[in-house]
Amino acid sequence: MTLKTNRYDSKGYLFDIQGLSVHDGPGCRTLIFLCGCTLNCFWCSNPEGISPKHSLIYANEKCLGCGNCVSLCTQNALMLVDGKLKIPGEICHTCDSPNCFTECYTNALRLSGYEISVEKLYEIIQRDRQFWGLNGGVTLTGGEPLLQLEFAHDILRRCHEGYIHTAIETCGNIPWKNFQEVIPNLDWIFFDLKHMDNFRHKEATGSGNLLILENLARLSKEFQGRLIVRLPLIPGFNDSDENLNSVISLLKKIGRNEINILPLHHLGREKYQMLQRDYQGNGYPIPSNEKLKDIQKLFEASGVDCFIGGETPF
Amino acid sequence: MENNHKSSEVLPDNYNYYGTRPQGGFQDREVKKPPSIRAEKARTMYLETKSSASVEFPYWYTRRWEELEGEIPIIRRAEALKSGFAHLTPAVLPGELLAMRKANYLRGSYPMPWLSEAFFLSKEDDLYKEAQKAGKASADEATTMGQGGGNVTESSGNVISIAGKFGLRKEEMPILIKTAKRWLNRSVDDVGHKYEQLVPGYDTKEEIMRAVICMFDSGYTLPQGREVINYYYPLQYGIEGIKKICRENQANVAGFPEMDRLYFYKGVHTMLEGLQTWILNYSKEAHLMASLENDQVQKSEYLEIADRLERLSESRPDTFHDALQLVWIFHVAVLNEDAISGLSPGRLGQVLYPYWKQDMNKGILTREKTIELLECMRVKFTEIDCFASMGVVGGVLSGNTFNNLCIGGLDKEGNSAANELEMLILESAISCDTPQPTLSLLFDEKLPEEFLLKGVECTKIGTGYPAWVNNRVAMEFLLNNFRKEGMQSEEARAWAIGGCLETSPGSWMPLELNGETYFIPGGSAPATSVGVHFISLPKVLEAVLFDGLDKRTGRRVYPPHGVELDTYEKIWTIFKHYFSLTVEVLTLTNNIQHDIWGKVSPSLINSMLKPDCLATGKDISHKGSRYNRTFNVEICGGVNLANSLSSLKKNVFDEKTMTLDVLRTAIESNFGYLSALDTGAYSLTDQVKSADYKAWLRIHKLCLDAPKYGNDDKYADDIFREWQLWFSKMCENYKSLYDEPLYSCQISVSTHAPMGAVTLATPDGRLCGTTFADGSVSAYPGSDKNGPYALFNSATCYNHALSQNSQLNMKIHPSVVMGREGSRKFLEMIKAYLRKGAFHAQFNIVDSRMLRDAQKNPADYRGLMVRVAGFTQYWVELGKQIQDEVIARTEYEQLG
Repeated sequence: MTLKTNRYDSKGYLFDIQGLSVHDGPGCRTLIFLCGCTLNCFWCSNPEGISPKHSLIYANEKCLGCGNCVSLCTQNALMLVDGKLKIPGEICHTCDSPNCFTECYTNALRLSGYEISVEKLYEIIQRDRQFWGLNGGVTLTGGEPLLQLEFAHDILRRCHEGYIHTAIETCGNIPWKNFQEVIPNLDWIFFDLKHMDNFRHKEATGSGNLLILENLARLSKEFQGRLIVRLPLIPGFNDSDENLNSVISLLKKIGRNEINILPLHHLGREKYQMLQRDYQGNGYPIPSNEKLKDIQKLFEASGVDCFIGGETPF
Repeated sequence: MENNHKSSEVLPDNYNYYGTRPQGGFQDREVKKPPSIRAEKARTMYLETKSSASVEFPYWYTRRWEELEGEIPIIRRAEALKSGFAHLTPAVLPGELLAMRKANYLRGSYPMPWLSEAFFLSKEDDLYKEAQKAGKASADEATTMGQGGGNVTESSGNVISIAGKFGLRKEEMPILIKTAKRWLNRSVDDVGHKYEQLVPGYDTKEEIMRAVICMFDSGYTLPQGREVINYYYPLQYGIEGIKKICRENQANVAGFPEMDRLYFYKGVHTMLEGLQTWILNYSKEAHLMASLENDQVQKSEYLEIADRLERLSESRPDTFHDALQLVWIFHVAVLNEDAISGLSPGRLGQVLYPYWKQDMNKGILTREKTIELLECMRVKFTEIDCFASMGVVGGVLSGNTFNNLCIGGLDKEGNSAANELEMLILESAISCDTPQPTLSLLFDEKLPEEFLLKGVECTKIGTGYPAWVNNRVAMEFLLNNFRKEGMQSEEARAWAIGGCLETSPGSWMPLELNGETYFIPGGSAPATSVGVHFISLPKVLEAVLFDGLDKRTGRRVYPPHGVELDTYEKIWTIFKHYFSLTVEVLTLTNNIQHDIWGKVSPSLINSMLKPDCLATGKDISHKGSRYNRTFNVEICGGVNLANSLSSLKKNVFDEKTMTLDVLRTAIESNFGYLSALDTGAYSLTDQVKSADYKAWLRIHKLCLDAPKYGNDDKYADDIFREWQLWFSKMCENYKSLYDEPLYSCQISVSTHAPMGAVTLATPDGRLCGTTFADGSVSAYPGSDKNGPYALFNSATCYNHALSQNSQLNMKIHPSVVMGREGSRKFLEMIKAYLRKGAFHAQFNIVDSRMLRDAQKNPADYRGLMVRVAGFTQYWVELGKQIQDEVIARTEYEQLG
């Protein structure tokens, strides 16, 4: 694929833009959430971002059961059962002309995910740029931001041309060529590592970790910007000494000496209900401060700088 | 903070230009330093004390006033003040480092019937009904005072509750009534009322007040305040020195034209004699307390107070402690002259710096001792209560007295004025977090980074102060308005915030100490916010839509316009017409009230302090101050107005999704909801649906979905900007009492609650009775959906220097600004907003869940403070309307 064009006429799907983000790269940043992901982690706090374009979000308690959405549905897919809406995700999330939510007067039914052009997005970035102050920039996240490759490439390149600091937060589970396309315009990568064991990884995310580890190793050699490995810490899943020690070995092997721990939280739980999905993260406790400090000591003892959550200094 | 980082390691090779070396490790929640034991004791004592009123001062004041029937008013006033001060019972409390207070109680205050007596007679006298007819009581009815804290909400035992706030001993009530009756037809209120009726269109004014389109008359309710005090003369000359100046000037002007100067100097001299007796009475009391004290430390502290006060009753101060005590004495003295809200100490840290530096150099003062003193000063300022009517105290002020202390800014030469003492002022505001004095940081690019970060540290403890205000924007405003009176950029730099957020002109005065001259800043104008006080813009729009009627009561406010509103431009034109009508009649009537105040009850104490009254022999009501172009038009609900116009334009005219008649009916039907006045829930999220709400769902959604201010949406922002440009210009069409044009002022204080309470639903989807958006550029709660940067961009869509102020309140979740990195990023955000030309921003760093819990369990949250529209107040002392509004205000929350 060649993406070396000077025009930025691609479009992409976002499910959110957040200004004043302070935890995802240096300075105050604008976070851009791109739709679509190649993993399906059970603790994911942005489940609405897994679908490639849209997700229908439905707040049960606000619904009056008026049926406006059902009569507007172009796919004959929506149904009211006992006055409450049933959303067949497999149809709705790939619907090309969703307008079922437009006459929902209580906002019980909303559409997450919208199309935006690079030009329009860059306008918003330029607006936000006035307020970042020192060291701000743009962080693409998601979902997996590099899944919409052309769009991600164009927005990163446009930013880079405008002297804007660029970062991505990636799950790593994408073809190497996707990285290759974007790294000339990237200053910073947060690279998520979920588990060192291929089988456990597959169990929890729907995919093995071989591609991920390979990409990480290659990025370590070929990416010139700052690369920070992030470990979402899920007690009972990936916090065993065995797993953490193999993370340390990996970091040593690829010549990295810092890690960013993101403690599990359940703030995304409500979203699962609204997507009519089950949340599988309930049985996993939020790690205690003591536990986090122990883990931090473990990493530090091996010469790896370890920072927890939003405390990472940039 | 635990630091696990090994500093010997070298930088990893993949750090790029943004990657700075990580500093510090995992960080615990920030822990706040406690205040000194002495300040903590004083604060605890304060928190356990109720607002207490007494009648000593008004009784002796009135008695002396009556004795001097036939005397010149300014001399009667001076003698009455002298008698009042001389008869105040002193109250010195254990542990105090700074002595003296307003009245004979901790948290004491007293009514001032010479300004307005009708309120105090309301329970006993038919006058109340008269007052009601005149439209004066409406604002009181629409206001709910905070139900807890130090407010005496109900009478109990021998204590009678006045206005749901002040407690008065039962036996003093007849004296209060008797004293108040003496002022019938003589108070500023009554005399002013007699003459303001001569203004053509006065009936419209009464209807405007009754409909609560205007919140209150500024003339008699709070004739002074919203200004910066000036401590220069007492510091430079001492009381005897000022008396000497008076005597010399007296001799120079006696028998010459402009004879009022003679009476002014005589009056100031007389008043100062009263202050001297008052100070010496406290000195004697301290001696008495010492003689009864067994604890040697406390005994010597009492004796130090006694000596200090005796010295200060005559001489100028020599030390930091003495200077601070004298500053406090004059602050209280001015507050005892009139009902005053918003008498700001201004740039106190710069005023006192020469003394502090001298004492530090001599080794007679330490940083620890300074902080202890400053903490005690904080408790003293918090102790100040303002006794005015409930509409004013609750509705406008939420019980707050706005003693705004400013830090930062530039010095006379244009360099950073921030100093070490101001760092300690910030330290003491962090350790001893009390509502007063609230802090404002006068931001300039020249201020040192460490000073700014200390300010951020203070903001982060969640008290809401300091407010961040823009030095350059203020200077531009001041030079635009006061150039005619000779202001140049050097003097523009001497400004400070007077009251909650009023840009106030200042001057540099030469203080001499140890053979050196220091130019200290201080206020140089009378009240900078008098004139037309708080016009409710959504209520004016309501009258436009309903042909001049107050739809809530059915009464006619404005003459019918009779125009068929078939274009957006017609609505906008008639809005401007009604608004102009309002400003015109209120300007004229308020001018009369202020003229009467200056004639029958002129200021002596504040006048004496303000340059250049003592030099010119004129009081502040007769343009004795250096700057006098200080009358303004204040508005409330500007964002709801813009949102409503945007909805009208979009829905009725551009897209024609509904007719104006349908929208009118929807407004009258409150979009199918019950009225907040019946349900008691004033925020949008807590509204109760009526039986037929489904019929209005579509219309309501269209109104709510119309473009809203605060989202960087050009459609709504253009309307907001058009209003701003027109408003700031139209104010200049009206002239103050001193023949100077008015300027625009945009602070809501707490008026957005009572004014919202009497306003029907608005075209923007806001429901009947609910609170308006606060401040001037804060988004309506829940309507800003594109995050803070979009809000910042909307807020700066016009030049803020066109008005005396702009106001942005934001609630930020603690997680956004955690840790050292959080502080730096927070500062970057504040700087960026101010650099864009914004005038002001302030922050509530709190979790809304905690606020809800605090509403349910006020007892557990006695010390919790929040920012409301320009100031900090204890949560439990806020009215429920404001509590609801703070909870609903958009919270910017970001988590890992």
